[in-house]
Parts: sequence; C-alpha cells; structure tokens
Amino acid sequence: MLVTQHIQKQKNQRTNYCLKDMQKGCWGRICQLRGDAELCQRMREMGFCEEMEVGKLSNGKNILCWIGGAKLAVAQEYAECVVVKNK
Amino acid sequence: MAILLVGPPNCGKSTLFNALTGMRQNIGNYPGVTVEKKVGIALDSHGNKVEIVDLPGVYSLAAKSIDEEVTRDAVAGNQPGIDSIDGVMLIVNMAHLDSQMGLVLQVCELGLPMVLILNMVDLAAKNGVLIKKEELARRLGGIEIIQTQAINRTGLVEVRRALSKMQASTNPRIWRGDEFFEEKMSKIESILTGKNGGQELLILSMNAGKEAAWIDPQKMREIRAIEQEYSEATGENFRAEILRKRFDAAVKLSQSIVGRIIDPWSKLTISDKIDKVLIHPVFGWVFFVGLMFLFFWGLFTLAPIPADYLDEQIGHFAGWIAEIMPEGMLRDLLSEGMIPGVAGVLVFLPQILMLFFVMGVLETTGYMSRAALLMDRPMRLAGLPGRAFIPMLSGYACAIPGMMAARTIPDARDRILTLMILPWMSCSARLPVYAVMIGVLFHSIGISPVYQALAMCGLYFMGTFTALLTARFLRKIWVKSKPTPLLMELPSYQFPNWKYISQMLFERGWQFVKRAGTIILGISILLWVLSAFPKSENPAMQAENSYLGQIGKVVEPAFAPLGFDWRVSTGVLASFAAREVFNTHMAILFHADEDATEDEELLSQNFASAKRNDGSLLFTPDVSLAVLVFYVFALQCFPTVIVARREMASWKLAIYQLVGMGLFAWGAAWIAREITLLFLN
Repeated sequence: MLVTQHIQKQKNQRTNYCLKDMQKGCWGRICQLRGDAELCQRMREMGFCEEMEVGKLSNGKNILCWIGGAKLAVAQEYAECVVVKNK
Repeated sequence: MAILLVGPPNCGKSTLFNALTGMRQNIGNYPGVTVEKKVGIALDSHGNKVEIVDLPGVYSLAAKSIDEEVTRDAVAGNQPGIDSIDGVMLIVNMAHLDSQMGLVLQVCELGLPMVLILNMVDLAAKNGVLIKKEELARRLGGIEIIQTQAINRTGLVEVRRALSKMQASTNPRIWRGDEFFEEKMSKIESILTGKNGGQELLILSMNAGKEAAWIDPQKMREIRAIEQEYSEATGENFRAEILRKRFDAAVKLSQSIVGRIIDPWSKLTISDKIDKVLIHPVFGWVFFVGLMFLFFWGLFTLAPIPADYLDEQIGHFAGWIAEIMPEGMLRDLLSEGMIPGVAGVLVFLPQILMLFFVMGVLETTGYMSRAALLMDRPMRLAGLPGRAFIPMLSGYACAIPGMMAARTIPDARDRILTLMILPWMSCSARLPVYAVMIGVLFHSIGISPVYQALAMCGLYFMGTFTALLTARFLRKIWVKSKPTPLLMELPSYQFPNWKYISQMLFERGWQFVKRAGTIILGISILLWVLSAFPKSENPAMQAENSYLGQIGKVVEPAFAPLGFDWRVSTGVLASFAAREVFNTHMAILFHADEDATEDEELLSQNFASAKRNDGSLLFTPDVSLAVLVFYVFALQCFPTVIVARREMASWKLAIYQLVGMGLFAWGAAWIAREITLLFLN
C-alpha cells in the first residue's frame, strides 16, 4: 500500500509542475493557479484558466506561450503561479 | 441611443468604430491604443443615427488600470457623457475566442441588449479555428453573433443591421451554483433591481473583497450581510466563488464551442518565423538598433530632398513678396519676421512626417509589443515595467499621447514613475532644434550625414539613458517597490496599414502646418515686433536695443555660465511656447545680418557665423553642445505640464517635474560645456 502511494506521489510530482519549469515546445493543461488572489484573477482573465491548454514557446526571463490561440509573454514570477499537468 | 463598443485590447474595436462612423480614431496592432472613450455617429441599415462609444480594451470588467476603469464605469452606467446604454457590441478576436470567453460571459451577465462580433475571421481561418456559431448563440441565450473582418469592412452590413435590433440574452448567467449559493444569489439580485441592476451585480461580483462605491450604502450593507452568511456557512468568499464558477463555465463553453484543425506545433506561422528573429536575444537587438540608426540616417539623407524643394518654394515666395511690395514696415514684417519665422519651422515638415511614418509602421505591424518585450529587461533594471516602453516610444513623437498611453500601466506607482521621466524622450518638437544645432556643431569639421545621424542618435540615447537612470534612482529612494512583471499579449504581425498611415501622416502634417501658421506665426510676429521696436538710431544696435534685447539682457546672467548670450537666452525662454520657436527666434534675429533663406543648412550656416559683441563666434562647439544638451533635458512645453498634472492628479508633482528637469538641463549643459572646453583647451 505504502509502495503504491509512494509511486503515485512520484508520478504526481513528475506530472504537475509550474509553467516556468515546463519544457519548451511542450503542451500542458493548467490544473491550478496559486498565489495572490488578485494575480490569479488577472491570469485567468488573460486566459490562464484551469483546464485550459498551454503551450510553451520559449524559456527566459519572460516566457512565451500559447494559450487559447493567443501568444503571450509571461514573466517568470507569474509563470511560477501556473501549475500545469501533462496533457 | 448609445451603443458601447466593448472588447479585449487589440481586437479591432477602433477599426470597426472608424468603419461604422467614418471617423479617424487612432488604431494600432498593440494593446492599449485607445485609452479614453470616443464617441461617433453611425447609421443603421434604416439610415437612423446611432451613437457609438469606442471604449478602451479590457480583458475583464474588473478594472485594474485607469483606461480599464473607463470601460467598467461605462458599462455600469456611471460614465459622464453617456446618458443611457441601448446596447453593447462585444467584439472579440475570433482566433482567440477561447481565452476571451470569460469576458463574453461577463458582458452577457450585464443583461443589456447585445451583439457578439467575432472579428478577424481571416486570422481564425489561417490558424484553423472553427467556431460552432449557432451552438454558441444558443448557449448564450439567443444573442446575435456576427463574423467580421473590420479592416476590410467584411460583415459591416450585418453589423449596421444589428445596430437597431439588439436583444438581451434570455439566459444572461449560463453558470449555476448549488442550491444554497443560488438562494444567496437570488437575494442579492432582488436587492439590485434598479435601472442598472444587472450591471451593478456584475461589477460588484468582479471586485472580490472590494467596496463598490456607486451602489447605495444601505443596499451594500444588506449584500455584505448575505455574503457574510455564505462565508460563515461554507468557509468560501462569495464573490471569489462567483469568479471561479464563471471562469469554469467559460472554459467548459470554450471546449465545446471552439475547435482547432491545425496543430500550432505542426506548422510555424509567419508571425512565429518573424519572431524567431525579432525577439531573439541577439538578432532582436541588432534589428532594433539597426532600425533606429536607419531612421536617423534617413532623416539626414532622404528628408532633405523634399525639404530642399520646400525651401526653394518658400524662397520664391519671399522673393516675390520683396518684389511686389513697397519698402516699409509691412514688408519688413513679412520678409524679416513672418516668412523667416514660419519657414524656420516649416522646412522640417519632411523630417516630422518621416518620424510619424516610422511610428505608424511600428504601430500597425505589431512590432511595438515585441519592442516592449525586448526592452523589458533593461526597463526592469531601470526600475520600470516593460509595459512602460510603449508610452516611452510614443513620447518620441509627442510627450502628450505618450503620457496618455501610460494609463494602460496598471500599477499607480509604475505609472507615475513613467510619467515623471517620459518628457526626456526627445519629442518631434525638439527635432528642428537638434537638426539645426547639429549642423552648427559640425559646421567647422564638414557635415557628413553619417556623423549627423550618429550625433542625433546620441542625443536621443542621452535623453533615454538619463531617463532610465533617473527612474532607477527614483525607484530606490521614492517608490521603493519592484516594478510589475510583464504579462502581455503579442499580436500576430500584420502588413503596415498604409491607408491608416497615410491618413495619420496627412493629419499630423496638417497639424504641424497649422501650428506653423498659427502659434509659430503669432510668435514670429510678436518676436519681430519686440526686436524691431523701439527704433534705434544705430541700425547695427537695433536688435540689442530693442525690447527683446532688453528682456534678453535681464535673463542673460542666468544662462551666461552656459555661454548663452541674450539672443540664445531669449530663444530658450520663447521655446516654452513651443520648442521649435528657438529656430524661429534665431532666424528672425539673424535675418537682419544674413541675406539667406531658411533651409536647414543655411540656417545652420547663419547660426554658425553669428558673432558676439566682441567679434568672437557665438556658437563655438562648447556653446552649441550646451544648447543641444539643454534642449534634450529641459521640459519646455506647457501643454505637457498641464497633461502631466492631469495624469498624475497632482500639481505638486507636475511642478517638481518642470523645475527639476529645468535645473537638471541647466546643470547638464554646464557640465557638457565645461568638459568640451577642457578638451578644446
């Protein structure tokens, strides 16, 4: 039982990560926004809603990503608030 | 009858507004072009007049910045000048509908008659976006949905037809909560049942935890009590719950309505390919710097061709006036005051048009957002948000629209910091002074367009770099918080909108000519009168003994450490009416001695050969440099001071800015002169 839980936990750790750590050229699905409520609201307004698909175009201080057909530049600080899981 | 035009930034609202009303509202391919409401009259399909209100772009009706507040207040029925709202035209970018669905639901919830316009159908088709239009209309309670491509007027007939027959959604709120939540919601709805009930409820729900000043305090107390009950029972914030449920509903609706037949990874779009170069950490900068240098080089190689022609025509006109008029005061006024005064500014029309042409191309292609992204890092090092770059770039044309563009910066501290340093972006009014004084500076060593372009680049760089350094200093000692990180949409590239650019060039050119024919002409007459009276017995001493000379003698000591004589000092003072008046002023004063027309080069030659009373040259390299440095830094523009006061909502800050920049300009000019003298000696 414990072993199964451990494996599941590891799996979760591998599949849930923040947008900042997502690999360039990959797609993911947003599963959570964390941090300040006002920031989360702003992010949702820009399209970063839970269950939306997000594609990462580039790394760097400002991350470029695709969401809902739009291309956005997102600062690393904000990208850390977006939790993504494998699509 | 007023119809509000609402939508996210950069989705084509102003383009549609222009197409419907025939007006020439500014457009651009970057977020934040419209920062205040614009009203125009359109005709519906029956020929009836309809008032259309173009509003600043919003991603949501929860306002964060000043421009967004305008839109929020307008839809809530609280915007002065809009008596009643007869409907809302919600316009969204069809290719980005899924990320803009939250706003669609918010506007539906207003309960107002509305129509949903899916603009940029061409882009959607190119990106393989498919929308189940009928299904979307049904889910949104039967509202009309129209597909358009506003830029080439596709779908305009349907939009005009819809103007007179908009209908409110029969199901304004498509999302629902559990029984307990709905019970509380109905109670609040029953409290907000006035004329603007739907709007109030929506706006209230958008501001989690904040007070809504426009709602009756008694009603607000009742609402707070209901929210409190909900929070105590569930442990959740009621308004936050509303937001969450609405966003969830938006995502579900998007997933069932919007489909994509092209995988974005399978094929790079042209925009993606261009971005690979233009926002590349190395090539992006090479392009940016190259573009700037090419522009300045063009100012000295291409612009003089039409400028020479213009000058020739003005010269013919001046010669014709001298021929047909008898000798006398009127001829002197025309030939020594009005014509040289106005011509000293007017010959720079080609340079000004070139500046606006480049700005127009940058604005309509979508490069502005890329430049802001590229500049984010240096801007943040300077303590400014990346978004501040767009107002700063606009400031190169004129500080006033630049200051208004700063309304899109959500954080008040970031915005005020941007406003404080923005006048150091060299505006177009400085261009004539720079061009002439660079000519004077290089007169002795031979004028090469490359040197002049480099010197011009240097002046623009000096203003910008000092602005960034000052921003960093002010951030450290005054604002003491970090600049807001970047979160910005990058629009797809578009071909330059030549129609808009040519319209803008015509309008800006006309404004410039009008300014030359009104303000500059008026000042020319005033300066001529001041320099021609009282009449001196010794014609050689006329200017010095005139009223202008007497004023100059009073202010001369203040500018003497910079090497300015009374003529330059009065030129600096006169520039507070308009910076380019410096050329006008000097052209009038030097005209008596030099029989030349006011071509830029000849004007430079006139300046370069001007002498002091002791026979030495007035514009030695150190003085020329001091004049240039002074004009880079001095805030000699009263309209800018007035707008700065309005935007910062503080006379104190505006006056600090005016005085601070004046003192800084004086100090910098003095240092520049002293260093030059050290080298010269």
